Amino acid sequence: MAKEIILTDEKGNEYTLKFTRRSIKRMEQKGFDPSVAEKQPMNTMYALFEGALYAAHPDLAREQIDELFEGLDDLNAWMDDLSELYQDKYTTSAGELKRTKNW
Amino acid sequence: MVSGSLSETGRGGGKGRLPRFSTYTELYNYICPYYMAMGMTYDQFWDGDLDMVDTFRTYDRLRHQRENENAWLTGIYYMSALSAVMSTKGEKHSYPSEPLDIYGKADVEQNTDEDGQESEYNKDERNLYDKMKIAMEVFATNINIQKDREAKAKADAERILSHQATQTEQTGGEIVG
Repeated sequence: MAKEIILTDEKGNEYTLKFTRRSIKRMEQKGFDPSVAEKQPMNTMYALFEGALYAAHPDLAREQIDELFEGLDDLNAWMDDLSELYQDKYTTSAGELKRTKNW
Repeated sequence: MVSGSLSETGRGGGKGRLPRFSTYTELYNYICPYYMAMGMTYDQFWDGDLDMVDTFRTYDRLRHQRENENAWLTGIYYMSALSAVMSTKGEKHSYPSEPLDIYGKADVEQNTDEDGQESEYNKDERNLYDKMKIAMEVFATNINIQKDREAKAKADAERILSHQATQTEQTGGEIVG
């Protein structure tokens, strides 16, 4: 089972953060570029957060996402968690390509 | 920290090399048809759990394995039918009266009974295979004997014709003796 994170807001609502291929594609279409993470950490963080929410909550409004993002406590820890989620082995490409090559 | 992990695939493309992609989108667009060929739906690939592809790869491998086993089993039946047709009276082999019990009457994992002796099912299967093998060998031997006889007869005929031609030349066109 691919990893996911459950986020609970102040009202007790639960939100599932995970990545799907469609959510990653959407992130890239909106200009997400992981290589600029060091120069633009907050933008990268927000893009990862929004992308991770999209998979399970595609109809979430921008205001709601902003509110949830502002409610995050330890941003460094969240950054690490979301990065790890994004870098999950199933999102990396080398293994996938090698497996297709053997077909 | 997030990094550009797609650089792992940078092998430059070309014949025999993995293609190069600059985004995950390009990669996913490339591999999506492969998984759809395995039976994965478009939505499963794009919206499903990321590890679903592992299950489909395993399914695809097992499916091919089953197809291979079915083809092998078909070959066994063909061999049995040919053996039944070609076998001689001495080594008569008849086509099985019922389908082969492919799951085995004894434990599938073991070919022996509880007392360590070879199971009756295994003996029957081995005997059937041995009979088919003998019938095919006899058939092949008879074919080879027939071919040898034909080749010898042809060689004899050519030698006789050659001898007659030689004699005709010597006697000026008239065969003597």
